[in-house]
Amino acid sequence: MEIKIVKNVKAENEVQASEVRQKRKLKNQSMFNFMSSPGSGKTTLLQKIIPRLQEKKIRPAVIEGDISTANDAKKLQPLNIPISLINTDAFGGDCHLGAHVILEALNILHDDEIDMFLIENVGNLVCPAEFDTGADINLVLFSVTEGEDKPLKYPLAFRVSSIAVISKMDIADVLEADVELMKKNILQVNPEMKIFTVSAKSGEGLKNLCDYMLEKHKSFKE
Amino acid sequence: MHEMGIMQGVFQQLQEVIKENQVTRRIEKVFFKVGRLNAVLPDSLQFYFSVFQKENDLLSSAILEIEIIDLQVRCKKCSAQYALSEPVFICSYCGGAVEVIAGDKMWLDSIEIE
Repeated sequence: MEIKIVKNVKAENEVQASEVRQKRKLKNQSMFNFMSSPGSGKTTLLQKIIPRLQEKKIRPAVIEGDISTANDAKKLQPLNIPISLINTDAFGGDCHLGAHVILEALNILHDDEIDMFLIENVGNLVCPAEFDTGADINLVLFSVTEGEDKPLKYPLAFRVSSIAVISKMDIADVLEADVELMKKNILQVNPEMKIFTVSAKSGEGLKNLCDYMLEKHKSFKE
Repeated sequence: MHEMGIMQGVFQQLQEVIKENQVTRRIEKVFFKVGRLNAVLPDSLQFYFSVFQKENDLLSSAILEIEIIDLQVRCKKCSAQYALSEPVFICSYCGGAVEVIAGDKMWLDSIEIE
């Protein structure tokens, strides 16, 4: 005997993701989810863009998904903003942040005055792409150290994102990275991607990225 | 890498199905469908299936059948529809952006009972 089922196995995550969106909507809070391979520069980028957002009167909070240490959160502490550290296991736990942990983080940060959530997802391009966090926008970082074909190897991460940030531009020449090819590969996987080239170290491109994030932030509030 | 989480989802659904349909006989086969874009490793799914099935008598001898669904896209501009074998999401007819219409989802499709 056969029983037909046809049920989405990620249904629970999707319900929780929409709960994240509802909760934020009530408070006019936007949410950006940063994804990348380990070592692409997510934490450093956040360190540099947060003060710029604050200058524009945005009160950001960070939801930090570090597999097993508090190192990333510690780096962000001097910024004096609310941080929710989602730690899994001392020997490396979850490979992504599911919507249920984002919901928990929203509850923890409930009393803080926040306009914008910045999620630093677990460094991994496979699993975070699969699970909706409940963010408004997914950003994918792609550093010049990574090899130009990364979008072709991990198409889903680039499909679910609408902003791509090519990072570590200050060392692109030394590495002889083909930035045009990186862009071409990104657009091949996602022709509608908005691409920014940045260097957290020199500050190149950070203004453009922040301006665009602010523009998006405002459009969500409307 | 995310196969364990996916299998947990499958077993949650299976438990609900067993309850809803008041299944009391052994389940022989579980049919799972997953899109190519989801980058799931069938061997890894099989491994986690074999781990989780030990916890449930009705599923302990079940076989997991995995079907990979090919990527199908449709051009947003010229509406051309075709199968995709490489990750090129630019319309091969007009150069427009394409949207995925199949091959980016996963679901528990059916079960077969003794």
